[in-house]
Parts: sequence; structure tokens; C-alpha cells
Amino acid sequence: MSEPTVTPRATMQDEVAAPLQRRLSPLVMALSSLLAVGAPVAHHVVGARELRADCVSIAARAVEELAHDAQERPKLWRYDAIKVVDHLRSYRAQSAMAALQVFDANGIAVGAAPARGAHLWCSQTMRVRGEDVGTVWVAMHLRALRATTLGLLAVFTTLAFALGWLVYALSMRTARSAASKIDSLVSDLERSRARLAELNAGLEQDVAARTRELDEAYAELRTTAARAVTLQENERRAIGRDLHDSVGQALTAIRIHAQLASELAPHTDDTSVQREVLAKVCATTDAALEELRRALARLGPAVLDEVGLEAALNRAIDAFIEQTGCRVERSLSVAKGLEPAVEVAIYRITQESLTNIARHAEASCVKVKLAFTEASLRLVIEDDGKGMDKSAKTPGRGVHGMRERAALLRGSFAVSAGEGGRGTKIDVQLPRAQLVTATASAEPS
Amino acid sequence: MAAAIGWVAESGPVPPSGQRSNMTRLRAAPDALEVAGSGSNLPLTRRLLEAWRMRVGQRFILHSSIGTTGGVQATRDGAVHVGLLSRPLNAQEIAATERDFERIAYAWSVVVLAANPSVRDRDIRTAELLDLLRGRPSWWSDGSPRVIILRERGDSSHRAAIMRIPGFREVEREAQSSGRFRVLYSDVELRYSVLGTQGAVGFTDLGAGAIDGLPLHPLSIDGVEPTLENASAGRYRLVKPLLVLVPRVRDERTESFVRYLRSPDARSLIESSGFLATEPVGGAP
Repeated sequence: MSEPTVTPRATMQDEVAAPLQRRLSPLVMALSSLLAVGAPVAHHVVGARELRADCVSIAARAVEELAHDAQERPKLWRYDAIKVVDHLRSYRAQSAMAALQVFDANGIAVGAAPARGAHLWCSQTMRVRGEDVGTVWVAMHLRALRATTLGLLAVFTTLAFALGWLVYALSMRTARSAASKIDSLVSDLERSRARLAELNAGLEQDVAARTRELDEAYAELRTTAARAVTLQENERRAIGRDLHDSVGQALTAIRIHAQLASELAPHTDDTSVQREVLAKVCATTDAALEELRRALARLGPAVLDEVGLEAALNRAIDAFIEQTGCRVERSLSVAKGLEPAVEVAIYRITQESLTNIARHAEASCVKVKLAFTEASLRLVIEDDGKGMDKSAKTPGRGVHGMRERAALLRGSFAVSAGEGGRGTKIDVQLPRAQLVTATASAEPS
Repeated sequence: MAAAIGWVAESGPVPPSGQRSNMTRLRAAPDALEVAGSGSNLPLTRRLLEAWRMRVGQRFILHSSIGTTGGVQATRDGAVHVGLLSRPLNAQEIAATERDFERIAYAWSVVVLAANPSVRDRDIRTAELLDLLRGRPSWWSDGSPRVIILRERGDSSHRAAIMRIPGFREVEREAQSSGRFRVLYSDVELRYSVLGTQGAVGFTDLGAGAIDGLPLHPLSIDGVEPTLENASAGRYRLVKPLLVLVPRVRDERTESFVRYLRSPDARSLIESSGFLATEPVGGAP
């Protein structure tokens, strides 16, 4: 059976991974950016604050030194400020001080302005005897702080975006892997559904076929049952007719003779007539009894229950021999465990065949052979009599009955001329599957 | 936004763009000769001013050291009448003063490497001096460690050594920036610091030491004793000029002092004070 086709549809990659990518990308970018700039900015702010504190400290120290000088030399302190500045710078050689400018009270600058560049300024006022005499301005280099900040920015940017890419890549990889697995599962599910639908369709077809077969078998069974009932009715009618024709007539004759004997007895002393009448009564009674026995035998083969099929067949053959005087060649191979219906069918067919031979065949020799093959049980009864009446358009009731019995057991029934074209041969084959019971195997005994 | 935060952190007030002015509001004392400048000049100049005052009966005000640079600026601004210089002016200072001011050399100071009394040695080699400045372990002959105390960068005595001792410029620059040595900002502080430190030496003026009477002894350098005679003859070459900066157009009081400086009395006083009254052989840097 070919693989069921799967209808193309939107995959989980489209439904899960793509939206996740759209949402995750800006989030990762934002967080990476925040991480990239957060630490450097914090460092810069803190560094600037420390720089400013250092600046204020230097300015305060300068004010302290210059204020003392200003107090001692109110006119010339500003000229010595340069040396003080250099002196302070030497003490702050490790600091980031870029310049120290002193402005006197007139706003005149003492000391060189710092070189070009980024600086952070702070100031302290110089007071001598409660009077503002000048202002000290200190410039701090921002170069080192900015360089450090830029370095941190580079490092954190690299780390942040590397981390962000890693988070993004791992998340997307996990999502894609999950989506792929889901896609695979969904595809498997769809294939399973399609397969299930196919199986369901097949099952329905099978169920329909089985239902049809069951219906047919049921119909056949009803037909077979009807045929069995018909057969049984026909047999009963035949038995009834036989009883009516033979036993009924015999009993009527017996009554007539008995009545005649009773009428003759008072009127004569000659008992020979009475003896003759009574002898006829006895003969008629014997014949009737014999017919009755045969009829009873046809009703129900109790002999099968009493002695088994082989013995029953032998009895029937013996009775036939006794009745007709024919020579019978018998070969009976009876298996054990046969279905009762099979035994009855074999027995009845044999009985009917022998009855027909006795009535119509005028045979001198009869062969009865019962054998098992691998596939079936075969009963062949052949006589050397005058054969079937070819002028008859339909087979007789007996032949019809035998055919029905074989058909009820799904077997075959054939009537043909005997060996050399003489006589009649009946060939019955019953399939092995119909022979045995559920708990027994059919093996020749 | 990060840049804005950084800018806010850095921003703050900035100083006014104050410019140098002629300090017209500062005036030298009207009734006295006001003198200020390098500390190297002070001991000798004080004696000269004293002698001048005795001669002409004028008052003077001699300020404590404001350095040669301060002396130039104060004189240029008119805050003092006379500026005291102990080094040649740089190009910027010359440009600022050339037109209106005159530099007059009146003495030459012998720059010596003064030693603490604990130092038994009387001579030091140039190579040893350079090694000492490089921070290499250095010992006197008695095994005691050598110590050198420096003046600030640009000091006139150091300048004299820079100009006369090969290799001294680079070594001194590195020593100044290394932070290995103590750096002082006045001659007085240096002399007293050398006096108070075992095994210490430092550059100072021969004359100043003699005047002050401190028990420091000058070392010979490469076997040449730092005497006035050796300096005058050019054998001892560490000398520096002492100059005054005065306006070309000056008042009578200032002119009087300038004339005195050129007088034989002043030269005699200069020589007796441990300085050279005339330029030594080979000149002074």
C-alpha cells in the first residue's frame, strides 16, 4: 500500500519560531545595549564624581597654601602662585590634574591655562581675613577617564552582544528544534490519521464484505435449514406413506381376516377355513412388522448411537444381503470423531442407495467403499444392475434426498453409470473441514 | 542617552577667560625701592641693598622669593621696581620684556653640591652623581648611603648643572618625574633639608651657604674644587648669573640702585660675599 500523501500546511517554524524571532530580536538588542552601556556609563559617572572630589581636594589644598601666602604678601602672592602650583602639581603627579589657575580678586589669571582637551573644572574661593582675595580653579584631565570608559564600552559591548547573540541563538535553536519536532510529530500524526482513515475505509469495506458474507451464509444457512426441514418433512412423508402403504394396509387386512374368522367360527365346525384365515393374518402381521421395523429404521438411526457408524453400515449391508441375496463387497474405513450429521448422512445415503438397488436395480453384486483422503471422505456405492432410468426427466426423491444431504455438508453427490457402463455408481465426497468435531481430529479408525 | 549622561557627569562651571594684564592696579611702593624675584639672589641682594641704603639713605623692600618667573612678571606689571633673576629668560619672557626692560647681570653665583656634615667625602664623580640621580644604589666611601635632595624643575642651580654636565638634563628630567626624590621649592628649604639629612647632598649657591653660616661643605666635582678662583678661571664651570630686571625708563631711585650695582664698592661686596663680580672665563649659561 502506498504512503498516504500529507497536505502541505504552515509549519511550526512559521507559527512559533518566526514570531519568537520577531519578539526576541528587539528584546535581545535592547538588553544587550543596556548591558553594553550600563557599566561604562556607571563607571564614567562614578569616575567623574571621584575626579571632581579629587579636583576639589586639590583646589582646597591650593587655597590653603595660597591663602597663607596671600596673607603674608598681599601684593605679590599671585606671582608666587605659579611656584605653588608647580609645587602642588608635583605632589599630585599621580593625579589627573591638568592645570591650576589662580584668579585674584580682580579676575586676573595667574598661571597658564590648560592645553586644549576635555577637562573637568572645579573652584575654591580664597579668603583672607574674611575677604575674597582670589579663586583657585583646578582642571582635571578627562582623557584617562574617557579612555577607560571607552575601553569598558568596547569590552562590555562585545560581551553584551556576544551574550545577547548567544541567548538569541540558543533560544532560537531550542525553539526551532522544538518546532521541528512538533512538525515531525504533526506530520506523523497526519500520516497516522490518513492511514487510519484508509484502514477505516478498508475496515468498512471488510465489514461490508463480511456482512455480505454473513448475510449470504445466513441466507445459505436458512436455505440449508429450510432444505433440511424440507428433507426431514419429505422423509417423514415418505415414512408416513410407507407406513400407510404397508403397515396400514397390513393392519386393515388383518382386521378383515380377523373379522372374517370371527364371523365364520359360530357357523361351522370346519376349522380349516379359520386356520387359513388365521395363517393369512399371521403372514400379514409378520409383513407389517417387517415394514414397521424398516420404517422405524428410516425414522431415526438409533443404531448409530448404539453401535457406531461402521457397525450400523455393516448391519444395513447385512440386511440388504438378507433381503436381496446380492453379493456385497465392502470396504469401510470409518474415522473416529466424525460429526453426528456426517455419520447420519453417510448412513442415510448408504441406506437409500441400498434401498434403491433392492427396489430397482436387479443387481447381483454391489460394492460399498468408504474411505478418507487428505481433503475429504468418499463414499462410493456401485452396482451391476440395469442402471438409472434414462427416460426420467427429473431424479427421484431418493436421489434428490441424497444429493441434499451431501449439499448440506458442502459435499458433492454424483450419479453415473457403473464400471463398463453397467449399473449405477453413486459417488459422494464430503470435505474434511465438515467432518470433524471441534475437539477431535478425523483420523481413520 | 549614555553620551548625555556622561556629558552631564562631566559638565560644570568653567573659569572665566581671564587674561594677563599689565596689573595696572598693582603699583610698586612710591617711597621705597621694592625688589622681588629669585631666592638665589636674595642673600647677596640684601647685602647690596643694605649697603646702598647706607649710601643713599633710601628705603627698600626686599620680598621673599617669588622665583625668577615671578620677578619678571611682577616687574613687568609694575608691582616692584626691580626684579631679581637667577637664570636667563626664555623666549616668551624676552619677548614680553625686551622692549621696555633691561636685564643687568651684577654677579655670578658658584653652584655647588652642598653636603651634609656627615659626608666625609670631599669629591664626587660626575658618573656617580648621574647614577645617584638615576636611583641606583650609591654609597659614600664610609659605606653610608648617598641621598640627593632636589630643587623644583626649572631651578636655576639645576639649570647650571644641566648646561654644564653632559647627560644631566635627561637624568634630572627623569629624576623629577620619577618621584623617587624629595623636591623642595626654595634655597632655604633645601639647605636646611640637606643639613638635616644624613648623607644628603643638594645643589645650592656657594655664596649663600657662606653667608648663612650653615655647616654644609661643598663637594668637588671630578676633582675640581668649587672655589671662586676655580670658577673665575673657568676650571669649575657650574656658575649661574644673577641679574636684575629694571625698566629702561626708570625712576631715580631705581637708577641709583643700578648705578650702585655697577660700582666698585658693590663688586667688592659681591666678591666678599662669595660670588663672582665679573663673568667667569667661558661665560655662564
